[in-house]
Amino acid sequence: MKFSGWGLTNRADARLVTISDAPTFAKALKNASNLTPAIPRGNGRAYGDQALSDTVWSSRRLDHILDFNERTGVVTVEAGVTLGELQAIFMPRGFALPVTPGTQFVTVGGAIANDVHGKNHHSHGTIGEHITAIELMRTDGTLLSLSKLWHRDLFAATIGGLGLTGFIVSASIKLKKVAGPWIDAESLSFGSLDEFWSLTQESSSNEYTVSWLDIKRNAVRGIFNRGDDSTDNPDRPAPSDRSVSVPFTPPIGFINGLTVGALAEGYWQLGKRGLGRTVAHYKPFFYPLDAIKHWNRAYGPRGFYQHQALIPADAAREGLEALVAAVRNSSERSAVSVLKTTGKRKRPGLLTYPIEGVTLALDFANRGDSTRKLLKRLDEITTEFGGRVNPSKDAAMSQETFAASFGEDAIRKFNKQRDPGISSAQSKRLLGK
Amino acid sequence: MKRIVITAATSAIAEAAAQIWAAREASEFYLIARDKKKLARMAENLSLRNPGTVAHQIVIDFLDQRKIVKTIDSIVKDGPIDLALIAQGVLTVQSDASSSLEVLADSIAINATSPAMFAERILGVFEKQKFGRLAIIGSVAADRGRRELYTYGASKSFLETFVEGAAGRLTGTKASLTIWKPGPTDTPMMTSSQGPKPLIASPERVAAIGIKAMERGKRKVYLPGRWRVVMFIAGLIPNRIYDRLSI
Ligand SMILES: Cc1cc2nc3c(=O)[nH]c(=O)nc-3n(C[C@H](O)[C@H](O)[C@H](O)COP(=O)(O)OP(=O)(O)OC[C@H]3O[C@@H](n4cnc5c(N)ncnc54)[C@H](O)[C@@H]3O)c2cc1C
Ligand SMILES: NC(=O)c1ccc[n+]([C@@H]2O[C@H](COP(=O)([O-])OP(=O)(O)OC[C@H]3O[C@@H](n4cnc5c(N)ncnc54)[C@H](OP(=O)(O)O)[C@@H]3O)[C@@H](O)[C@H]2O)c1
Repeated sequence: MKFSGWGLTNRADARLVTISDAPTFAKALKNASNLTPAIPRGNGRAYGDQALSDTVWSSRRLDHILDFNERTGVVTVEAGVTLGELQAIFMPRGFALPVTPGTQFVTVGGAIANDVHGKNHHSHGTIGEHITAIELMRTDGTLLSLSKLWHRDLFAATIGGLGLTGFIVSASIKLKKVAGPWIDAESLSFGSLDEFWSLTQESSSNEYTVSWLDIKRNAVRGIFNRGDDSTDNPDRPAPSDRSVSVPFTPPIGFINGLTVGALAEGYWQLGKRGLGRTVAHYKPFFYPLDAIKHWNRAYGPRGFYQHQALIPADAAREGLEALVAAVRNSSERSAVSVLKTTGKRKRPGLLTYPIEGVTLALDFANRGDSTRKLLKRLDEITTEFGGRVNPSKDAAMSQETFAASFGEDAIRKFNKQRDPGISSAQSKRLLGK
Repeated sequence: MKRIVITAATSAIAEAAAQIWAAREASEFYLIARDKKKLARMAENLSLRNPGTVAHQIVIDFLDQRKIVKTIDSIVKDGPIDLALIAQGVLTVQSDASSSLEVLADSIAINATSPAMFAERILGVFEKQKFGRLAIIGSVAADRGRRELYTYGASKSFLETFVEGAAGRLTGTKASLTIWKPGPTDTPMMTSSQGPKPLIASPERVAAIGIKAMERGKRKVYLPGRWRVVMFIAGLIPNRIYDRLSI
């Protein structure tokens, strides 16, 4: 079967093996005489070649909720349950995921493997901070229970472990209490990066912040969104789950050099209409892009790249200016750009991505060499400022960029915890095997 | 609250059916299976996802006649059975059954004897209640014997003749008996068999169509419906050619 990541840039043939329960999987691993390289796969929302290998172990049938403790808020689920399912099941009971990325269509296994962060990093960190235990299948067929108490090193390596330490069978997550599914939200516009920074400062007490940025030829503008969990639960109908879909990949992408400017303008106009305060349902607030299923197909058969750079706090302003300038000086234009700040938090995983600073995520239609040249330039700028490139979005960074991002020492420690039976196209590119 | 009995509740298709029923309304499930751990996982998931659901877990030997009688009797002691699904099955590769008579006998026992025993007891209950809907999972493999799978296919075709006759017992009541005939479905049963997987359906889809048919009181349903056409065409292919095909 053919697989690719969300960006549709890297396609590869792989043998699909669906894992349906741990004992059967363990038996199969123990009986296998020679294993081909394999990689766990969740919902394929990582952008590049992270969940690609000769064999792909799919978690989609591991979709059971195993336990929920109302008192502690700890839910134990199998790795293939999606974050969206958890939100929908537990929100009505007054619990929510403490951390959620910009799409609800990711699995628990995938969320842990990239130690994902959301719009509230400064107050809640990454998902790894809220994982209390993991059951991990190693390719020798042993099932290990990992936590801060047992197998600590392997626990830390598995959080943000890029799927390389074993197959996550299940995990326990501590949910947070909420009154209901509503967010008190506010949107403001800004016309320069300086304005962005002052809004950021002014919003330090808001739980959620995220901005959409439009990089124009000689200026930037954007929409700054902030919000907090609503303390009321008004009895209002939730927005319908109906969504539109891009049903197939068109031969020529809708999002290309000709349309990207108009799209950004359209987005800006839409954003401007929504300025002000509202009580928003969590779905459009957390997952605005999920309203269009398979939106990745709009880029056409060559797909697109996302580049996410994180610049540490002490160099944030300068680094951000430099990244924006590099885009402006290139022939590429980003259709969707997202700005977020990250806080000073514990880093639960050995390769946890966020450090304190600012992150800029840019989407570029794949136009071949010219696009990759820009990606390389963005990698260089990021690491020059002591920053890091996000592996969950990556499809093209070099081994050097990865090493500069996470540090030789962390990588050496990580390699010790890897499962020798597991590798991905990404691990071969970034770690040499 | 609907009272629902499911045998081989841990099977992927049965689990999908249970989820559909539980999402519809708070129900009381009697879940029967052989594997205690797997059953606990299935039952917990069902009630955690669907507040108000009650899920009783019953682990028994599927060939133990006395246990089957006792189990169904004890369920109806407390109330009627509204819905029931019989889902056990094992996809026996014919070469295994040909080389071991034990495998052959076990295959017939779990694919034919065991479902018939459960069905008999439940039909008896329905006759008295005068309502209730029962489905048994057969297979498209029943329509035509195949070299690689004929013990399995023959056991499933036993179920068809069984249903054809037994459904007659329910005429004049509001009760019904349906045989589900899935084509290849994306479940552990298929994953364990090697080879190409043409026209594979999801267990959720198979269960959804099956439930609709059983609630309409249909006696037989292909899941999904296109298998009816496929099997009709297959029926027109002469033996000497069919034997060489591997559908
Ligand atoms: C629209 C969009 C918005 C996003 N927003 C954010 C965001 O705000 N913040 C953020 O941090 N990320 C974000 N992401 C990235 C996304 O959260 C991650 O890529 C996530 O890992 C995807 O999960 P998945 O289930 O789709 O996993 P896949 O893409 O299938 O796999 C991703 C990685 O997880 C590993 N993995 C999957 N399942 C298991 C398992 N059972 N055991 C071990 N390893 C496993 C795979 O091997 C692979 O390395 C976004 C992605 C999209 C498409
Ligand atoms: N998948 C297909 O392509 C397909 C096509 C046509 C018909 N069907 C039929 O659909 C039904 C459900 O199967 P499925 O596809 O959902 O696959 P499945 O998940 O493998 O289900 C098979 C079920 O039968 C149970 N079982 C097997 N041997 C048993 C025994 N000796 N005692 C008790 N239980 C036993 C299994 O129990 P455990 O859970 O403990 O293993 C399992 O729950 C079966 O009758 C099958 O023949 C399937």
